[in-house]
Amino acid sequence: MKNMMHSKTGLIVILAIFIVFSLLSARLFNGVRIDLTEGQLYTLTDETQKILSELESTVTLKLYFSEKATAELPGLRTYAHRIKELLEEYENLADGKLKVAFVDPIPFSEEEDEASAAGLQGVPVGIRGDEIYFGLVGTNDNDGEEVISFFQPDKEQFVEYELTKLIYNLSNPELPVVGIVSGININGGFDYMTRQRQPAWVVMQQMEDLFDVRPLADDIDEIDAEIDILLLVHPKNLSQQMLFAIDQFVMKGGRALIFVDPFAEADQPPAPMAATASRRSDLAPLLSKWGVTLEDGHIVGDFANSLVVNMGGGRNPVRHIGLLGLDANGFNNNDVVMAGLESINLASVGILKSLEGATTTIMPLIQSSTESQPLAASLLNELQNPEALMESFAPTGEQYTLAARITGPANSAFPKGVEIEEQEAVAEEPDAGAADAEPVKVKRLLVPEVVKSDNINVIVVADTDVLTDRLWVQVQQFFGQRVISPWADNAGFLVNALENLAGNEDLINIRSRGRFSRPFTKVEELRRHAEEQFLAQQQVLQDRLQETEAKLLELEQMRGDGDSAILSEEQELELARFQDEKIKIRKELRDVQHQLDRDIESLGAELKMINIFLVPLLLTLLLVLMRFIRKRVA
Amino acid sequence: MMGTGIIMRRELASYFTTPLAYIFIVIFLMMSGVFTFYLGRFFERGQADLISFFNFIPWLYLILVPAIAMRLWSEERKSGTIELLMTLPVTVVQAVLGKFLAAWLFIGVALLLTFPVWVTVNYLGEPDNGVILASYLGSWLMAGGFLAIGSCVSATTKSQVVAFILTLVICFLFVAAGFPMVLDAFTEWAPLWMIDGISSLSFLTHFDAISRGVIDLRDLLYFLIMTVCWLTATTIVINIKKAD
Repeated sequence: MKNMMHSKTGLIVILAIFIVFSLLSARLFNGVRIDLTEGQLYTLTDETQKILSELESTVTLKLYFSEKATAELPGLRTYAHRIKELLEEYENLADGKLKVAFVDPIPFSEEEDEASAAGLQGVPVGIRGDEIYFGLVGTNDNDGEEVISFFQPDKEQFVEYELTKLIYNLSNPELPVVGIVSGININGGFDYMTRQRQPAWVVMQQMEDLFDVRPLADDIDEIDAEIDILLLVHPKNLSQQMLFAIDQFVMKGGRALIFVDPFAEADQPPAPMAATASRRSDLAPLLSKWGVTLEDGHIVGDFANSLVVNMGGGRNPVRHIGLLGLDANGFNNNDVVMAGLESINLASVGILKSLEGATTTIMPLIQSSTESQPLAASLLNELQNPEALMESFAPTGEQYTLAARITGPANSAFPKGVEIEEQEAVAEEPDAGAADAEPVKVKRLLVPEVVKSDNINVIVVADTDVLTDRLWVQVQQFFGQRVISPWADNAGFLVNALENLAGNEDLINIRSRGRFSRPFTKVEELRRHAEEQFLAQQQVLQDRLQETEAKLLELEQMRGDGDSAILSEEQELELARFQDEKIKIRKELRDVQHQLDRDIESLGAELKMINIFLVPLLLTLLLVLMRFIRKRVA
Repeated sequence: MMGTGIIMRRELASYFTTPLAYIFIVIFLMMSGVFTFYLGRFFERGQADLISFFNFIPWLYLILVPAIAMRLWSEERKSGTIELLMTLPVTVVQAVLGKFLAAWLFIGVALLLTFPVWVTVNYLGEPDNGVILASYLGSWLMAGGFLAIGSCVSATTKSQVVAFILTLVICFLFVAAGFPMVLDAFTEWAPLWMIDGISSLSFLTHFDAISRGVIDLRDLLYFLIMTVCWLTATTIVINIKKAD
């Protein structure tokens, strides 16, 4: 040993030790790590562990990763390595119910055919353009198959949710059944403007991946027992028997997710020439029994959460206080449904209020900011310019409930049943002459099975537009494929709510992990503050303009019936003053606008200076000071 | 152990008696600021994290750590003070360790003085401070690796310039080991395990892993092995040179 430390052999031994240890440590010490991230992004959750330990049937996972073809992509290889380890951890936790295999689909091999047949995405890389695969195929005993077509490294935060969901779905192959009753064309329809069939809304597609979605007829008097969750979108003019059916479904413990709206923008008249019908949802008889009401004829104007819309045609973008983009500040983060959602966009949202003496508990899920005010929904009918909404806007300082969870005891809306009129059942062999006769109507009494429920379970959202594509997703056609890129979590909210109501709370908690976007809140605050000032100032300036105009009109009237083509001297002076004033006001408005950007720019510049020069400067001063002291001492 | 402590304190004190150390820190801080704000576009990105800062740290080290490491042994050898050092009641291992620790702590101080960027990001938004802590730890460990290499190279030569350039080249190879340009040279003929092995030697691979906020035992071990092996090599080199 002593000799080794004094000879060149020692150096060679050290080199060997270094290489062997570096290579071995990567293989020996698997999975020992400390997760310092907020929310433990890289540690398997209790929920995953619970789902894994409760697996009912055996699930097989095959990870396809192109080992050879990715030799030059260490980043992707590292990620693949992590996925492998993660899967091994899953395997360990599942107590034999989960089998994991790793496959390298070499080009032109059987494995490659398998991978592409299963729907995995081959991505061409390198000069030769070899296709690489990095996906997962999961199967269960009943030939059920679920696929992750490609693991995208930038979605690492969600990988646990994706994997656990896949395993859960395979182990519980029966999807929860969602019954839909919709007053708008959520499933697509005919657009008279373009004369084309419209595709179904993207939320439908998202739901169909996770649920067994069944549209329900709107004239039934009982909802099928197979339905786990009832989804009502923009209920409008529902028949008595349908209301009765919904009431009984909820009374019997069925879960319901309801989207109502004081002004459903997507509720377009069927033909452009058709008379403008009411765009308001109507479910008041049931909601009132559940202790909540949708405030009639009002939408929420919310400045702090308002979105800026592009007006097109070279006009400046304009703030729209009826079009809201809410973030976690407006969400009830204690509710699993909202957990992990970052932003939800809503349009012309209504206000939910709990009724006095309600027996139920109304828990807000989404709330507006304190800079809100109820506005008349009728304003939207003829709205040309969103700025018009600002004219009489005066925040009340109150937060309004935009979505709520309703639980607790409630009574049926039809304790005595409901009498309905319906067409008599047609006799098997009708008389030849009877075909032309008026159908005979008969009355029938529907008797409720349950008049009082101990615990209803309903989520109500005061907006239906939240589900429309335009508020949350961009859909593009890409080589005949429909590529969707979400820019808000509207679908996440819907799916969370359905999953929660379906009882899969474990899965929801996994979804709720990880914050990938951490914006500069300070800068946003500055921007909003500047805009508020701008608007306040704009209001003052516009008032001044109006005043001037009124003055001018007054002068006009005072002059009487004289020659109206010639202005009096006084009027001319007033006109000149008016024009000067207008120019001045315009300039002031521009200045305010500039100030808005300037505050943010100067913050950036200040921070740059502080970070680059402050400490170096202090250090230099310290050094000079020390030299000085030393000299004095010497 | 006593010897190590004494050497470390003596070395550390010597750093701060010359303006050179201050100049080094000032350059480090200013460059990191410029990289973060201009190349990394920290403010324009609008995201409350320190990715723009930590992305450039390995490249800053590439210039600045060899500059610190070059004088560790070459200077002593050139001026002949190494003989004096060897007459003191400390072993070579203690001296190597003491000098290394002093330089490592010095870099640690420089790293700590970048705190304004941490304050800034906390002022602007709500960053994940666990991730930032891990990244700082990772970058300090990486500095240790760089420094150990520099220590060994410095022991082999009397010329500080040669030590600087050689250290820079070796460190660059370790940083770039995971890059396609290095792996290209191997992909045609080497087996996969060897290519993986080479890319696993990269400083960047391990630093990136830590700076995600997860401290994996393997990444820690990598930096530890790197440092210990190069420091052992330093000891051997000094022993051999002493015998010459």
